[in-house]
Amino acid sequence: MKSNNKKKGMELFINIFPFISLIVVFVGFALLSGGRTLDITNCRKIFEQSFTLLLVAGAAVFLLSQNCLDMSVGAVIGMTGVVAALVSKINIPLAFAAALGVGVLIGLINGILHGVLGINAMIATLAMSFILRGLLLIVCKSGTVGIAVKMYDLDQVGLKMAVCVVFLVGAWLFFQFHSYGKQCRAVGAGETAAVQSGIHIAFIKIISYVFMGAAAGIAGFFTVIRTGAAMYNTGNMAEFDILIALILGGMPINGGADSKFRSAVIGVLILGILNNGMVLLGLDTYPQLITKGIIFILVLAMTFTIRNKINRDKKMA
Amino acid sequence: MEHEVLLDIQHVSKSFGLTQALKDVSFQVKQGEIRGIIGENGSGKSTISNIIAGIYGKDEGVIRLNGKELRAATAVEAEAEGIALIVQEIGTIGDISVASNIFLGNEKRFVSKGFINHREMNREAKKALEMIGVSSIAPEDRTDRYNLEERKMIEIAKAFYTHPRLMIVDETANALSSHGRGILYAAIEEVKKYGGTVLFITHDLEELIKICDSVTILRDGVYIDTCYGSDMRINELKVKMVGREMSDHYYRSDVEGSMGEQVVMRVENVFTSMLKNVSLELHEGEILGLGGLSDCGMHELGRLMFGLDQPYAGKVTCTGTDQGLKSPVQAIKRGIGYVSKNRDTEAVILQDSVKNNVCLCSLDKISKLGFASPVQENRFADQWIQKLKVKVNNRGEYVASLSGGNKQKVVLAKWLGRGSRILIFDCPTRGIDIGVKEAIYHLMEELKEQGHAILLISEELPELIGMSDRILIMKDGKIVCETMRGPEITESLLIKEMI
Repeated sequence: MKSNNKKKGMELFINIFPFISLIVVFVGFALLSGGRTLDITNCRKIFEQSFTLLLVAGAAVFLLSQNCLDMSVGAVIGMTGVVAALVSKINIPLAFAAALGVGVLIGLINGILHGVLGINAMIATLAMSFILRGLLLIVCKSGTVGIAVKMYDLDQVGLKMAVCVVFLVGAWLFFQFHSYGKQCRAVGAGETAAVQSGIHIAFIKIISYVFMGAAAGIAGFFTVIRTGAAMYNTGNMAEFDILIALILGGMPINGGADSKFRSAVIGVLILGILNNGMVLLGLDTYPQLITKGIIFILVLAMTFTIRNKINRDKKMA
Repeated sequence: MEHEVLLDIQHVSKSFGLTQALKDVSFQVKQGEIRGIIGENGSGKSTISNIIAGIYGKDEGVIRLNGKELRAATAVEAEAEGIALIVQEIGTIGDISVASNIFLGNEKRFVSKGFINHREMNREAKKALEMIGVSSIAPEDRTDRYNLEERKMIEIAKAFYTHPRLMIVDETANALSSHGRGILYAAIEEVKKYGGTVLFITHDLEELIKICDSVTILRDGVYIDTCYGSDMRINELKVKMVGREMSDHYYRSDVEGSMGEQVVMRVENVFTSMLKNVSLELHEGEILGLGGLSDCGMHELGRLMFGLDQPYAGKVTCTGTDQGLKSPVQAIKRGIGYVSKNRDTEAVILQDSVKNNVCLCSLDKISKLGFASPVQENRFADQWIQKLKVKVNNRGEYVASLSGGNKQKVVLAKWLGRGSRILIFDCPTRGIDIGVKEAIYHLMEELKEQGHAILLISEELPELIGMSDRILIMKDGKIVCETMRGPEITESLLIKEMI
């Protein structure tokens, strides 16, 4: 019975760890900065910086829950950003549609490469990101592609808030309550058994990559609005930020039944506060990167070890 | 020496989550004794053997080997103490050579100047295999070239080669043909001869009585009794295992077979790499038995009839459509359910809750526009958990923590919940205790009465004879014999067709 309690304790710990981390970074940076992080304009800044990451992380939950990665997210944000910037000179709604369309198309190709042709997801999407970055370099010869002036009108917190809430609530409903979300988790927990339960794996994977691409497209559109121009490296490393955020948020690295949508929100918040706090404390870019890397590895190592322990004990002969 | 106690287990307890697998278990085994351990699934047989072999830790209690307390925390440490375990499931690694498997963890012996001398290792491995009388396995071959039975032989060779003081055989015999069993039993006798001790865990009571000197019975993690020699009587053992009087025959009692007029599924002249021109018809209200040796193609035929594999030529069709079966998705739409023989990897998702497993293939039925309310899901899961009497603490419990029999009930709940009318059962009672077995047989009869069509693929002849309306026997990918249910069908008659 003793080991029982211990294991329950471990499960509880794994479940509340993301919340603890959130509170620790929140309170920690508030104290360290003498309350400057709590300032309303700073909070707004944190949201503005985290907004696009929230969108793509929300979509990535579906992929990671089935043990799939998309290493091309950053490049898709860059690509769709450039497309949005170019098309914005004609018409702004059209720019949004174009960014979304390009995102969906790339997602569709990713989905077919992995879901239908069976190419390893990481390799396929990594190759895709090289192609996209190459294309971006060709398009952005001069360095940047500026957006239409009228597009700056869309740079409003209210609009972003609305997009963010609608997107996240919608995605959460699908992940938690729709057959599609349940099937994603089932694929991650046991692919063979999922196939034999009548889940159309290729279909699920294609949908998930398309959704990921669409989210990256929206993110690309809003990224260029904020930066005013697209560059060859717009969206760089977004895929790693997603991964770090989801892990900090409590997502199991192999996906499966324990995957929760809240990981995306909590994780992005932690990462946002962390990034913002380090800047406020005057840390340089390189120490920031190193700190993020170390935190990522520590959290990953800890959650991985504990989850393994829980799962091993759950197995009974 | 003969009567010295080798293994002394005192007050051992162990729990997994909410399930207490062992409660204060104590017993002793003497040197040179072959001790059977029996009990229903979930009774703690495998748990105790895994604790002795260092694979699990124990919560409480003491285990002594030759009077010395055993503190092995890993399988390698246990091996150093002279304990060898032959596990229930596959215990060899597929993509390395047979010899590497036999000396896994002991490669050091063959190392000179930092390199492994593979020629030397292969020679020793060949010797190890010959010691148990196996000559058909080449030590340098990749292990996954061999089938389940041959891989078990490799494990037996590995265990036997270490000259163990204590050899634990965990339900290995279930996976073996009579030839394989012969080899296993010879190895067990050999261990006894040199004064070693054997713990033999099995469901097959008749074999057990033949092999063992004594037998210990566990029930629900509690030590019940140990019987010696002529005190081991099958019916008494069964009563002790189950804790109640068992009906003598748990198969169907009707003598004549029966089936509905309508053919619900047709296999027409199908060819695959394993199957040669196979045709069959499955009727409603029929239990169609399909038997043969394990590599005769019957398992492949089962997969084919669920759309998991595609034939080179020929067609698999259901009533109402001429279209061949293309995928499991389509098969399920046409009302087919499939219970794989590899339950843990194919039929259930171990790392997911009982509820999600039960609901998984019925999501479209439970939900509206794809959205399912948790209330509805819970009601659905509870309904089928209750109908099949699945033993769970709560519906959120992970399937991994259930016993084999209860896992199988989850699989059945899944398909019956879906409302499948055609059920393909591939070895539905493999590695399952008598209690659940009986429940599954009753359920099959009930389903037949309701007009379901059942294809029963089985390697156990008594089960085929006991349950089927019609029996097909396969050999080398062909159906070689078809016979109706009747009192004149005997095991030896069918075996003659199989070989």
